[in-house]
Amino acid sequence: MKLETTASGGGLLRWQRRLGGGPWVAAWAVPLALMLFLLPEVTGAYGIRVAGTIMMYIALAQAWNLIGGYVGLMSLAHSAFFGLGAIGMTIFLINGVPLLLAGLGGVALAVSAALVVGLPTLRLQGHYFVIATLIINEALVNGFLNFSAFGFHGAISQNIIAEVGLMELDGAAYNRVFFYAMAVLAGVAMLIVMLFERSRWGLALKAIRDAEPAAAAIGISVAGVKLGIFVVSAALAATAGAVWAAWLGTVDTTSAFDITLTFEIIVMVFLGGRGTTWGPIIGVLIVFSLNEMIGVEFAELSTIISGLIVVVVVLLQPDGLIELFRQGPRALSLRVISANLRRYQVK
Amino acid sequence: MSLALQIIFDALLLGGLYAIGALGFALVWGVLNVLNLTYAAFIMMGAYATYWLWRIGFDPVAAIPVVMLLMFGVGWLMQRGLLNYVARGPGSLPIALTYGVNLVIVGAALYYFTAEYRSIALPDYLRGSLEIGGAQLTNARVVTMVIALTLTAAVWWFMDRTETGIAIRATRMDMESAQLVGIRPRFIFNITGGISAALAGAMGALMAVIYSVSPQMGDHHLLQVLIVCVLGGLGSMLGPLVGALTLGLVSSIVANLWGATYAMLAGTVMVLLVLAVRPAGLLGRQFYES
Repeated sequence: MKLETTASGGGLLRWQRRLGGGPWVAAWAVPLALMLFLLPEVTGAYGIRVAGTIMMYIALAQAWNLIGGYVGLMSLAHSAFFGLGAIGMTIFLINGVPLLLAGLGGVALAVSAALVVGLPTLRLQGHYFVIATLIINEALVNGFLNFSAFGFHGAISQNIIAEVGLMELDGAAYNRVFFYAMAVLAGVAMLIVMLFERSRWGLALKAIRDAEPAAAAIGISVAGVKLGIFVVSAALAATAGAVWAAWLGTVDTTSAFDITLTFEIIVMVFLGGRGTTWGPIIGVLIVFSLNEMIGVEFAELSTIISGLIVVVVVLLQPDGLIELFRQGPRALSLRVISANLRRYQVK
Repeated sequence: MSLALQIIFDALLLGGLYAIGALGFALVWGVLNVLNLTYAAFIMMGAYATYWLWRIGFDPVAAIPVVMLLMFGVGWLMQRGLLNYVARGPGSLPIALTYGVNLVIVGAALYYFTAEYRSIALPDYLRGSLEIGGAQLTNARVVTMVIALTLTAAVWWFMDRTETGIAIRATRMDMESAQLVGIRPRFIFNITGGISAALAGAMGALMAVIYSVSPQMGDHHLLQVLIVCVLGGLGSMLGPLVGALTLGLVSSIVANLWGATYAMLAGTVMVLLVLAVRPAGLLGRQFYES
């Protein structure tokens, strides 16, 4: 499929149209960017760390939303891409590669993993893609835990503070740098989703979702579109992993490849509304507020609660809480909920 | 020589266990076209049920039928109360739902039972071992393999010779035609969910006898079950058995030569190779993927 864009009108105008139309984009985008830029001035040290983490989750949730929401393919490998970004960058860093190139190297590793998983499975019908993404994560954790070469040992945690090279900054400035990095990443992820919705890719995807055989018949390479989106999604997750590793300064394999990350972002996207631009952000904010309320000391309890959230959302509000903004309070009325419950029921 | 024999015995044992698990998992996958991730929790529940039955005085092997009956009920309820509501939806909905249920059950098990590993003290008749050609084959493993083969045979008989089994196969091949001849899909789905969970329970029970019991045991075993399903293919009864023996053989060779941590990597590589070269599985015929 060709994806060139037709040049119509001035460049700026075209971009504005793609981002939701009219000069209104500037009306909310500029103040928002300004607010984010000034945020470190008002929050304390803890606040800015939380804000940076929220930005990271927005980027991750949007990355997953591309493949899981828009394409509807449950990727369970996003923790693997995140981990490859983090661990890959670490390996390149301790071998003397400069920071940005090392980060790119980590992303390249994740992209090749996405190709290895996606190439054989995305042309198949059925659940093979999900299975492959689930087991690749386990295989990579086990592989890296035993990996010991190029000065990297998977079984111990690796200190990369000196290699990242921001040691002259004090704590507040250091967190601020990484808050900005995460905010830019989240912005890029949002931009990709918005442009994607209005691009030929988005159109092709809608065609595939509505009628896959028909889409294939008019010349859309179904497997190619899916693979392309999967690779972009993996690259975004890996970039988040690389920035996270640089921010943390110490990397260990088990926490970089923690599969709970995948499920956290799935909960967020489902809660907010999969396949929508703003849904994942709603999901991220709600899950973060819940976590702040519950606290981290009850790990089992938060597992149970995230499980319950998914079950309730899937059964009663499968389009996510974004429906509250679309339909108003009516989305929570008994009639709508019971209609949702019966929507996919076996007769 | 004795190492080779030991590898083969280990493979047979692992293969037998995973074959039962894969049989149950492939049933729901084939009939409902749903990937049931709660299967991990079902395996764990079967193991804990065996453990607690043993604690109140049951013989661990005699407990297996009781556990299977209990798990049949659990599977039926799960199917009726939850899965039937999303079965017709886009594929990501059932996966998310079953994953959520799995989180809730495993989380509850962690909360009430703690992450502590528990194991069953074997009765005397399971303790001894046979020595064949210098390799050790414990009685527990012999019994496990016999049970695994019996269950596989029982499922084959049920699916091939009983009216309900034929109805299940008909539903799997073509649901609309099955409805036309008077089969009620909802009833078939509930039974399928029940049998699937009962087989998961049996696998968990045998795991509890041979290894140990912990809340997160099912998550690991589910991955192996998935690998077996892909390797063997979904179309036949023999598929899971062949897939399980292949995985068992490769896993125990890799584990004996390089260490157990590489077994998972080997399984993944096999899955990706099979999907690239022969997506219907080593001997699978395609039923609904056309």
